[in-house]
Amino acid sequence: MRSEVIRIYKRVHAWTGIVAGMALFIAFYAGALTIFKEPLARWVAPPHAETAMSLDEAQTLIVRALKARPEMAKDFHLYLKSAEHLPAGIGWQARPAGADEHDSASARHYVATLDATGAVRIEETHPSRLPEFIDTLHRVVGLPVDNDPSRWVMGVVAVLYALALVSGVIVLLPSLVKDFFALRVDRNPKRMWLDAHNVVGIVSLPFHVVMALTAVIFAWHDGIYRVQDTLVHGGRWANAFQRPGGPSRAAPRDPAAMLPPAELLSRVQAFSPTFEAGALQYLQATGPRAAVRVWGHDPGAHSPRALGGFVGLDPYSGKVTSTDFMPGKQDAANATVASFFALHLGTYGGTPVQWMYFLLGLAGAWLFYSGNLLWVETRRRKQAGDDSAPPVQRRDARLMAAATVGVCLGSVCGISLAIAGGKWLHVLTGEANAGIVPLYYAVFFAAVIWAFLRGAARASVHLLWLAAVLAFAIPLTTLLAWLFPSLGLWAHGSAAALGVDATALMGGIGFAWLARVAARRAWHGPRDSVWSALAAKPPRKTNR
Amino acid sequence: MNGYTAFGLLLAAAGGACVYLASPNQCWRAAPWPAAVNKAARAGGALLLIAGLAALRHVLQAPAACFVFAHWLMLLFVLFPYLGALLCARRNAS
Repeated sequence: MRSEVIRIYKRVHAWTGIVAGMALFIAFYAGALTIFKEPLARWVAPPHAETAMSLDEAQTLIVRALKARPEMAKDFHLYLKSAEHLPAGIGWQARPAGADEHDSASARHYVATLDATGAVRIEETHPSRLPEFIDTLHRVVGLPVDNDPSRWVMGVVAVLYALALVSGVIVLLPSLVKDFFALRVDRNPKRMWLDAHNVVGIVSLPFHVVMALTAVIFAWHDGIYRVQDTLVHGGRWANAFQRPGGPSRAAPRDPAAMLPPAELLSRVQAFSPTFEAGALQYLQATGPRAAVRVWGHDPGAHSPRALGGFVGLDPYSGKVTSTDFMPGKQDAANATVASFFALHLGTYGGTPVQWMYFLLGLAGAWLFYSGNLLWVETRRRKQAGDDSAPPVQRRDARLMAAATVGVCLGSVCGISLAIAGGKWLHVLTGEANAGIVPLYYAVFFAAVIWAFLRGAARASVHLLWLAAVLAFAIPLTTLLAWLFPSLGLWAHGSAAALGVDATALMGGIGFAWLARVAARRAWHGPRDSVWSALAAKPPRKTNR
Repeated sequence: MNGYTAFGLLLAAAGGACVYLASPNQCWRAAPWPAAVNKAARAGGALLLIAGLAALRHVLQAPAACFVFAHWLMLLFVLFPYLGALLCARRNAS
């Protein structure tokens, strides 16, 4: 390939990477944690009163709850397995009119249970917004709200990401085979960063291609659907998804006539013996188009959604109405579409695959961080000889290094503090949800300001130590809850919750190790680098 | 984790390690293997990878088995060079 063409693609790769790199770092770091959204939700959930409920009682509960709150008939869930974040019973959400369908922050949550006398008890619950907030950071690259403008920003970032991938591969093509697996640490730092960057980028390229393409679709799907509806379906697309039923103004149906959940589940079991149900979602339960979605997983198949997949049934007749979203039972077209969701979300293969996605997600974050390091290293001004004074480094390299350290480590610190703060705020103020977002952004912006004030070399050491301390704060919170119950903190003993502590502990050790390495480089490394704390300072401007 | 899944992942890891060790850019060993050993390692690695995929296919549907296999291999091939760099740096330091 002509070297001129390679040079053009190199420039495209560098600039798309630089523009989108820090946003993608946040998306990948938060995305890696979002893989364990459920364990995070379980870790942070305050203890709730244990209310055991058998499946046989569920039908009574549904009928009585619907009588007390007819509005919940629109959409409610019956959870089959209670956990720290899911009380046994039925739950539903109420959203204000006009709220964005992707933004769950405005929703109010309710749970209905049966008390000892068999009477229905309805309570408003306040599930932690922490897992949803981390997911939002992932979905909209560090912006606070998942709304249309944020998703458009995400869409632009995803397009730049795709461009960076394509241009990066083209740049590497001439040496792809020769340099495959190469990570040379005994040469110059630029070569090492380049190898460290290329190994991750090339080896995990299929993972990144899927992430980039699906992210573009996720970001702009509303717009794509609107155009498709207008051009292909003549504005009548919504009708295609409407289930046939009686007139919409018919009298409400008697929910007692619905088949009991145990019967619905046995029909699903007969239909697909390998399907493991987790929840029943009732839609328009008393209406003419009543439907129930039995959500769950098939351990051998890929699932189309983060929560798994579902089989649609008519709750009154028990007839299976849809398998379009049922893992293992989809037709070829739906299974193909579902595979893109599954590949983005890691909803197949169980826990081992979740760990693979977690590590590949962290590797992806490192890919963007190392890309920025490479950009800075390329602009390094080297010392002419051992005796000469180290040159002042370029302003753009100093600013980019500071921005990279501040934004990337700021988001890492902010997320750790938001996790630990999810419990501490609850104890200190009685309500954690309002404080999580300000806590994250306070640390994030403080880190960015600190990085620009102190310079990348010093700030990277400080912020890595802070990241270590804040990661350690997560298992320390659990330890304090066990040692001093009077503090009002809580600690759950499930494997999922303890897994969060163990992972944070490992993360803290990793950040502490990186902080020591960064400190050694800052104080004992070459002085002709933005990463040296002893680097020559730019001359101060004087007023004449 | 299902026994077949664990076995499949283990076979694939062994196969991936053989392929990495047979690469001219491997850093696990101070000196590369002779050409004949490299050839055998590549062939053995390929067989182990196929066996790993077959074990995964035993418990997973074809798409899920391929996805698990591909992601496992991507993760291993990211980790192996980094482990090699660590070993190489230690060798250079000693």
